[in-house]
Amino acid sequence: MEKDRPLNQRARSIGASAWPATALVALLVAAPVVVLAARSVRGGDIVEVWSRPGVLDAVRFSIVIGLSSTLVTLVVAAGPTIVIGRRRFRGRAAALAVLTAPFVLPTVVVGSAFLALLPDRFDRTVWAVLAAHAFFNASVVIRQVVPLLESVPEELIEAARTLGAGPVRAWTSVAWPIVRPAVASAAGLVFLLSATSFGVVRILGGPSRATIDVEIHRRAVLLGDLSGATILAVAQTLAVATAVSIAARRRRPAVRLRHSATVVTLPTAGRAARLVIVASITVVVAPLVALVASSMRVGGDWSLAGWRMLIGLEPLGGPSALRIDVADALVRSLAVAVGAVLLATPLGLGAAVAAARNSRWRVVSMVPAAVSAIVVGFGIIVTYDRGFLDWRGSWWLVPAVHASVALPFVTRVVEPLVAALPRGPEEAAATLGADPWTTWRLVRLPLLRPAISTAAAFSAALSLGEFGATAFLARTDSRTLPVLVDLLVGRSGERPFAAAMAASTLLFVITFALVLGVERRRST
Amino acid sequence: MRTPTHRRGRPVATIIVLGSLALVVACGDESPTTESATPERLVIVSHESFTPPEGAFDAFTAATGIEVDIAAAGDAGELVARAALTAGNPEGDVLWGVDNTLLARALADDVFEPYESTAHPVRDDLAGSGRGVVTPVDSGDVCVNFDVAALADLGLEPPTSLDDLVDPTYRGLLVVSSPETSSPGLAFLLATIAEYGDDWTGYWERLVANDVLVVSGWSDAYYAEFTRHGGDRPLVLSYATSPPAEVIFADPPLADDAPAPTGSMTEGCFRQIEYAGVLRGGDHPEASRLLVDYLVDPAFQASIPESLFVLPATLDVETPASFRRHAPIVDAPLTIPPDRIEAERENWIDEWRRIVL
Repeated sequence: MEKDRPLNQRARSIGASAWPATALVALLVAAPVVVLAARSVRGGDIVEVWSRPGVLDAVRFSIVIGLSSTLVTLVVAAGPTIVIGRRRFRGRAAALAVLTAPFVLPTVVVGSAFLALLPDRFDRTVWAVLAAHAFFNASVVIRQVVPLLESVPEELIEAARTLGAGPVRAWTSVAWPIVRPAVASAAGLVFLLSATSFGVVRILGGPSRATIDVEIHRRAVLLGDLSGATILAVAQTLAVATAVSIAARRRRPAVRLRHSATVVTLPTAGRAARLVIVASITVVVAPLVALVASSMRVGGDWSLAGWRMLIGLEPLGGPSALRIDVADALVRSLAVAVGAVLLATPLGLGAAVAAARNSRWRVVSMVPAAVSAIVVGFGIIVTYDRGFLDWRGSWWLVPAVHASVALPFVTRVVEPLVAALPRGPEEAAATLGADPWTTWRLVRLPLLRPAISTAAAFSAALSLGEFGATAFLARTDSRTLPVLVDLLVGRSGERPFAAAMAASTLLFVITFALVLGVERRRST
Repeated sequence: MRTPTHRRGRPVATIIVLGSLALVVACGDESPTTESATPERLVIVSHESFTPPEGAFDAFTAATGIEVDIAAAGDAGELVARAALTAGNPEGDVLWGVDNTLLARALADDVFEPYESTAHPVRDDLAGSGRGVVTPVDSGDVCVNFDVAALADLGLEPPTSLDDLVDPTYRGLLVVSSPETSSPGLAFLLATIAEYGDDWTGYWERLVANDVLVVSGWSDAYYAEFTRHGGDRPLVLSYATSPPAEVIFADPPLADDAPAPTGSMTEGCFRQIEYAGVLRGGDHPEASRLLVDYLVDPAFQASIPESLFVLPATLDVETPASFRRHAPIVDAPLTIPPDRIEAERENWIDEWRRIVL
């Protein structure tokens, strides 16, 4: 039946399921970027802005921190990637889960964890930023490269050895060509994430260091230089879009050895390999342990004051004007995350259904991934600022923006499953007289449920940690936890620091639990 | 074949579309704000240095039945930038703390619903631009302070002028905050410009040659680098009204007749004037005007010196004893008109960066 339908018509009727997602992205991502672009050419600032204090420094710092973070990340990730990708040992799956989990941690949590871990004199230095970037980007490399690396048959390497290749030669001529595309794309992603880093640089970089994203925020919110912020935002968006599209064009289909085709038996890990894993896990766990520990310390003493402030059992204190309701931010963050999940999951599902039938719809969910969250947040407050379109401060705005940020992840998780849905059960249901909605509800939805719950968990984690857009959208009476953490760590005093550490710890525990729960279910 | 296929693709889509439409409609429905005679509470938006004493608004609440909340964030620069970004849809009702270095920008960004309180007579010297739009509420003189004991240990007399600060005698002793990120820092830069005119760049070159330390904020300078609070610089940029604070907050407490542990120069000071105004687009303009009236009420103004450590704007407010004894009077403060500051600030800061950083 399906194939009798004219193609274009099918695309049209199916496309309807992507409309809500399209509307969300158009309103909250595309329109603000267009408005920023239009404003940037207005007035004569487009050339002059680059000579404003700090602007070129930010561009330079973005490039330098992007390159150096990529280098350090690749070096740090090489050991664990090779061992996990090529060796068998007990607890391998668990090690992989732990080592890849940091990627989902909110940036402010990573920042706080390194603030807790590093001795004071390394705080607020470029080294602290580098360490934090390597910490969570190493998991990107491991995640992307291990699947390819483990698919290289050991026999191939052994064959090369038998033919006289040394161990290094055997690797470079057999394994490297297979994993190279994954390493290259991971490196590109790490560069992009580091060069546009916001939360980590805000917390660890100190006042004099700014990436372009930090500079956009500083100009708009701290200095009130809207034209400067606008031009930087547009330039940043253009640069990222160009880089991404060049990368996408150059990406050729990698050499793929299918898991199902070759059952690869990996050699057992030796002592050195085990040591690498133990060391890597230690490096991942140490900042988080330091974070948890410092959430229970005030000044030099053990105290649960940070936690008590977080759940509202005691006030933050300080001068009356600075009274900040930490517990209020906790409740708000949770509510926002629920709203974002409720919006992102159905919309992402709709977009995925459309994209699975017609790949053109994939664009909808790619747009939010290509635009920096800082640009989105800034664009929204300057776009929707008058009359009935004055959305600044509306209660639904932050959850809706979080949903648009989560959309690409939802679609990416759900789409392959939608595409792979078997036709049989569905047609059987239709034959038995089920109407299309019943068919969906009873047949397709259950098949998609694992993907949907994964998507929902990721959306919740993303929303809880979202900092870039929220930094612009949250108001003094509507701060989320990441915004509050950023505020509190910048304040002198031991109690605010303890509250910030407790808030970070809670965010860390929730996001870790969400993601590990999903990974576990997926692997069983 | 057409009908069934249509029926097949649509329902899900329809439900999702309708669902999100409903959501959008529900969300888009901003509850219309009606100006009730007396709102339950008003919010004062301010910077983090606005710390009135506990109960400072009790008299206002008693008279009007309106509670007052304070939403404070960042410094004065951030306050004005945020007010500009939220102009017309403000984060509160009344803004406290835009100063004369930032006033022109706030006026240009149309942040305020024009209202100048005439409920109580205000000092003549505070009037200026902003007439009819905002109300002056306090003033403070940004001056270099010194740690009396630390200077005595070095065998030095306190400096008395901006010229002294570039004298090699005081080499490596001064810490100031950056004009980029701190409003006293900007005030100090403006003081040097007001004092030296076009040669201010030469003055800063000499200051840098004399090893001045520049940090990002006032509290970094005062609470981290100043000798009185554990740092190693006995000269710090602060206010002429900081010495009384050192007396009041001294730990352990000082004897009643003890001199203040710090002092302030009275030359080379820049006068900062802070203003309050009704934010445009707030829900309660009527009540907000009452609140601005209250901010210049002698009852409230009397609480200003010993909580905000600035001078009251209203006439007939008695200065507390701590101020009479420990805060030197600045007879001839330096100042620059707000319009000129607004027009030149970027250039000045840019130039300053080239010299200092």
